[in-house]
Amino acid sequence: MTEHAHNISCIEVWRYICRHHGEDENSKECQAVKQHIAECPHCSAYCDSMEKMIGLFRSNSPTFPEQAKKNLVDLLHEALISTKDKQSDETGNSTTT
Amino acid sequence: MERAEEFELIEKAKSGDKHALEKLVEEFAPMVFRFSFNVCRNQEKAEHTTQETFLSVLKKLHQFDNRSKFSTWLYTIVSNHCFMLARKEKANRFVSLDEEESVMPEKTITPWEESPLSRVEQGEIRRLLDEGIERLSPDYRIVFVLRDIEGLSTNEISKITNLSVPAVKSRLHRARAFLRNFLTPYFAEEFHD
Repeated sequence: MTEHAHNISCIEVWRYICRHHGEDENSKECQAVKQHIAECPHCSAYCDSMEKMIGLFRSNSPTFPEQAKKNLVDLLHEALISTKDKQSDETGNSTTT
Repeated sequence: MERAEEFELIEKAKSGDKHALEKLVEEFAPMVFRFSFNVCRNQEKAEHTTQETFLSVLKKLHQFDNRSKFSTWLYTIVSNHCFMLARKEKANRFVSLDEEESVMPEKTITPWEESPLSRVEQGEIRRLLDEGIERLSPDYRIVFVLRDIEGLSTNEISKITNLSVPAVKSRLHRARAFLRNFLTPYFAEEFHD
C-alpha cells in the first residue's frame, strides 16, 4: 500500500472509490483521488475491478418475461373490476339508506 | 416517457382507465421486476413482488401527488415489498459489514481479468452473483441495486429508503467493497494462471 500522490493513502482512496464512484467528479477531493489513481497501480487495479464487478451485475439483469406481464395485467384487471364493484355496491347502499 | 405524458397517464389510471393502467405496466413493470430480481435473486419471488407492487399502486394511486417522479414512488413501494419478503429469510445468512476490516481488500490488489465473462461460464456467473448478493442484508442490497444497477443518485436513494445521504454512501461503500472482495477469487487474473 502506498502513500505518494497528494498525501492520500490507498485506503482513503478505496473508501472514496466505494462511496463516490460515479458521483461528484469535479470536486477538489475527487481530483486528488483521480490523480492518485492515475499514479498508483494498486488503486487503478482496485478501481478497475470495482467497475468490472458493477458491470457484471448490470449485464446479468433479466428481462421481464412476457407471460409474467400477461399475468400481471390480468391480475390488475380483476382487481380493478372488484374495486369498481365494491364502489358501486357502496354507492347503491348509501342511496338506499 | 415525458413527465407530461406520465402525468396524463397517471390521472387516467386514477379514474380507473384500464388502458392507462396497462400502459403503466408496459412502461414500469420491467423496471420493478429487474429491481426485485436483483434484490431477491429469484425469478418467482421477483414476479410475486412485481404483482404485489402494482396491486399496492392500484390501491394507493390516489395518494400519488406527482411531486416526485412516478419511478421514485414505485421504487419506494417495491423496496418495502422486498424488505417484507426478506424478513422471512434467515438473518444469520447475512454477512456483518459493521467492521471496516470486513470490507478491506487484499493487501496487494489483484487485477481482474480483462474480460471477466470470458473464462467463467454464464450459469456459474449467475450463481456467484446470486451468492454474493444473498450474503448482504436487504438494507445493503437495496442501496447497491438502486445505485449501481438502476443508476439512481444518492439523493434519490435517500428519499426512497428514508436514510440520510451519508448513511446511503456508507452502505454503498460497504456493499460494493464486500461484493468486489467476494468475487475477486473468481475473476482475478492470478487465480486462473
